[in-house]
Amino acid sequence: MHDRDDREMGAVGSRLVRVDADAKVTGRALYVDDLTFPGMLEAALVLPGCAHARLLKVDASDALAMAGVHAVVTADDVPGENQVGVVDRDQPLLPSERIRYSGDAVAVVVAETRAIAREAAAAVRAETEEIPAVFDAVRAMEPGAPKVHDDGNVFLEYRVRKGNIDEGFEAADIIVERTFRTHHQEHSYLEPLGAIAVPEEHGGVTIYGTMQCPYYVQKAVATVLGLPLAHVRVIQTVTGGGFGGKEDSPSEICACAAVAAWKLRRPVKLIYTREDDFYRSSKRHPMTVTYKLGATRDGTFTAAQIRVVADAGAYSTLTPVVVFRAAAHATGPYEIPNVHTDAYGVYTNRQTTGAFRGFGQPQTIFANESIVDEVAEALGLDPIDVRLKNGLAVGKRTATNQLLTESVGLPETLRQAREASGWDAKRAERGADSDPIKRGIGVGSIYYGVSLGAKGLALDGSGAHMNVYRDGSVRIAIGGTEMGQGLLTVLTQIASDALGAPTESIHVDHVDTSVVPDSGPSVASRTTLMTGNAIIDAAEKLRATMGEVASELLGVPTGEITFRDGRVGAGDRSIAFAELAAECWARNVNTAADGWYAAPLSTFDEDGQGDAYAIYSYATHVAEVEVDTRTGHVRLVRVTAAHDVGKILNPTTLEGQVEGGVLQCAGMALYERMITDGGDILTPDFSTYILPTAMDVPEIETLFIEEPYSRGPFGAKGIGETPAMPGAVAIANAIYHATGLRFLELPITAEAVRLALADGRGR
Amino acid sequence: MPIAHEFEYVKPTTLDEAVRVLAECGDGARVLAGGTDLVGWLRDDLVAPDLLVDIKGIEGLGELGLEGNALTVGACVTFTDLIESETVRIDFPLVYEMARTVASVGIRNRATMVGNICSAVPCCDSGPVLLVYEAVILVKGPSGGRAIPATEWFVGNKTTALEVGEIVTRIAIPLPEDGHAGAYVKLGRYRGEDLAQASVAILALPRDRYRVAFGAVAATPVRAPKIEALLSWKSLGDSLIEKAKRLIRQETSPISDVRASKEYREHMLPVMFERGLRAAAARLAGSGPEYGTRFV
Repeated sequence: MHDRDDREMGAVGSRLVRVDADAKVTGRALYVDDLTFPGMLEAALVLPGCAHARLLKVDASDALAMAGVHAVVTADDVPGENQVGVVDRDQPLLPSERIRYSGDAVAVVVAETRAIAREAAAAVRAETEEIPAVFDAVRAMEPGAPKVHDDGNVFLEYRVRKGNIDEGFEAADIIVERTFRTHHQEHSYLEPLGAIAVPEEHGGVTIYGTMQCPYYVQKAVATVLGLPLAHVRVIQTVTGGGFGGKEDSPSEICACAAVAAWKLRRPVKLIYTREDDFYRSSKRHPMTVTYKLGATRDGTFTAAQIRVVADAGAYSTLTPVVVFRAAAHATGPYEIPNVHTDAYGVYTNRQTTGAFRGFGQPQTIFANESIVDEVAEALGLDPIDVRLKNGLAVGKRTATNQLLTESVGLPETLRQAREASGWDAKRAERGADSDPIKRGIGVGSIYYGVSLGAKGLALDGSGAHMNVYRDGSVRIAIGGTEMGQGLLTVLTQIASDALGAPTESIHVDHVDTSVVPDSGPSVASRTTLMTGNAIIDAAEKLRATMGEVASELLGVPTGEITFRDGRVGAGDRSIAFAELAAECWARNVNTAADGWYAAPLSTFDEDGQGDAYAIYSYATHVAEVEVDTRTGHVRLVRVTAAHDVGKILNPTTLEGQVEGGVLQCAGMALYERMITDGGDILTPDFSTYILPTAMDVPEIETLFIEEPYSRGPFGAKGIGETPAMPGAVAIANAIYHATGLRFLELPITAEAVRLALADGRGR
Repeated sequence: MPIAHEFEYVKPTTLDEAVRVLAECGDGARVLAGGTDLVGWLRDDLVAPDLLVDIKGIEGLGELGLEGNALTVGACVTFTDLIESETVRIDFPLVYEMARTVASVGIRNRATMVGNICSAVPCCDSGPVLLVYEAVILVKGPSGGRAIPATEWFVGNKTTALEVGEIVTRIAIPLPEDGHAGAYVKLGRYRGEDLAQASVAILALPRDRYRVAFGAVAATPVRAPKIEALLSWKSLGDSLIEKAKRLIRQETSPISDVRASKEYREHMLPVMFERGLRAAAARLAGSGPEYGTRFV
């Protein structure tokens, strides 16, 4: 798509230091809680904590009597529609009749200080009448289960039908079937959710907040306030981590702040405590996945039958998109001629579940990659050989019958991970039976459709606005968000090469919805691809207009003009980019341009057939563990992570993405366990809900495979999600290799390992 | 989350002044040293004192060193101070080994050993170690000073023998006369900072004498006199260790909580005890793993 023949690679591919590193390390970066506005008040939410109840009355009289309290805002105060559902319209911002989970807030208390607001929130009395609740998605599907919404609990169903499943299993020499379960995972970003709403004199409102998807927030705030989108301006503040957790949930907190600010006509800040965040932010879906795989004696897969039940929690939020992705990818990265997948989204009275790095796939991957290992073992085959035999490659077809035509790096990830990890030797090793420490090595492979795909929310385009000033400095406004992943740095590199301007002269801003058109969400590993291409589009427009001026100045035909390393021209006739910018200014030539990139259309018919995503990323992780059979402790010793990224834009940020993902996989596999009792979360902090720390980091070797994508910026594909996907099951498979324990449920805690061994399971 | 509750803050420069203001305020006062427990409790509204008495300005409370044949650990001595002290590392290796398991570096830079035992949560790492060293806690109150043996210090979950108006000035840890070795074994869910789900401190003395204490498996850290009696004066062998392991259930009463189940704790105690006991015995004999080795 982008002709790069005329230029050498400059900034792209380099280890440019994070452009935001200084500000973040020195504390100059301003997060939402660092901001203040004249006359600003602080808010706190009232959470009755019921799992399922009728709301009879909200009595705010005691709270309102407290000094410093300005208002208690309820559903009655919502000027527009009391609704924040992202996809389905099933989620009231502030419920007025029914509480469906313990994170539902019935009022926003606004006071002079946060302390007063919190004290007053505790003084608001919600009169409720408990009704039967359901806390398990499989149970919620049964007839007679308590209904979370009146239309029933199963609100979503996707199917994939390819070939003939009966014939496929008929042709199999071996069939393995198991049911796997995964549980809530908390995003645990460093910065909890927070928002400030500032009423503007023109009648609109400006929202500041930590978020991944400012255009979702804009829509939600416009809805609850009953305002046109043009009157809602959303400015993303420096965002301390997202991982998907700041896709849907910021709409709720920003809308709460907006309604309060609207009522009082004063700026209102609302910051969650970590506990609020545990209760109210979306989690990774708990899933129950039944997977049945058939294969012939030589290891060729003949059929897969899969049933996925996803616990959506009390509201659907992003479940329709998550379950679509889970359904489309549920076979794993294999060509299987006969596929029969049913995937369901089910309401329960638990925390809402939405986007989390991997977006519904890590759960099905745990199932499919465990089963692939079981099939390999039953046939006496090596797990990597079986994966290579069935794995996707150019010319093969996915479960949705999509023909893959380019950029399929899966086989190479398998080969390189095998080689670098010393797989063959380690796989054959068998420690002494007397040694209580057992060593194991395991593998997991994945594919991931980049960007939103066929059932994503409609818009799959992104914009950028590029402004070259008369001194040659460049400022770029974008629609994708930096949330800690390194976007601003990578985009600076792309802009630098696309414009031939030095990286130091370029500044990329966080999102302001008043500057750049709706660019969709920063999710699904799409932001570098989409916003990067939008920047390249803008740069091409500027090169055309500025190139004409250069052509006139230098007496060189426009076709020969190149923009490179801060100079513009041809051969020895060139001028500095900054000089050209000044000349354009002097000649009244516009040096600002808008860029836009739209993804190719995807398809997914009612039988789940079609080109579900435009392009896929691939990865293989090999995990090595030591299991202390006396204590059950699993030490993750080494991870070899091989990723097909299309093109390396910045090796440092790429390694950071992968290393962080490896740790999130370790958390999902070994540690992270949200324990609940009815609606109560018993682990609402990091002393009880544990995350891998620096002490738990294994040796990590990252390998990057560059199978370029023809439409990607410089050939790049997304990397955001894939690092958090193959690792958990690679660890589970390594534990099996070490101990003979096949776990059907995550996390595999030390306690779970030890108690399983005490039961006489394993070798 | 800011601290919602208002309180007075004083930072006296002498011990007498601290004792005086504590006595004046009575049970509305709390002593602040590192604050790693207290500030968290304040923010979570678990305590709401009227007065905080910051003792970090009092001279002498940072004292750490041998006095006679006992180690003095002043009220402001942090776990990092303990880890970095050569005296502690060489003469009181069990204290060193325990200190290295407490939380994380950042917390250890502030948290004090005295604070650890004043908070007196059942999983406090210092508890079992001070029990086996038979340490003495020195306190000062309006009516003078007194010395409380560690064995009498822990009264219940988060409760100690300290009276209202009293302040702990230091801990005295006697140096066993003719040499010793030890091991501290802590059960966490991972390598990152964790509260002990169970802990075992073993002190091995010459001529086959052992002292044993457990943490996080009863309302307070506990000594294990039955195990000590069984082990003492006998040469340590597989069958004796097996017998001792069977006594653990009589000395402890673990419960289930969100961090670990009773069943898992019961399983782990003998494993940890055996690892600690063998390591301590080996160390006494001049071999065994280096101090600071993780046993779980």
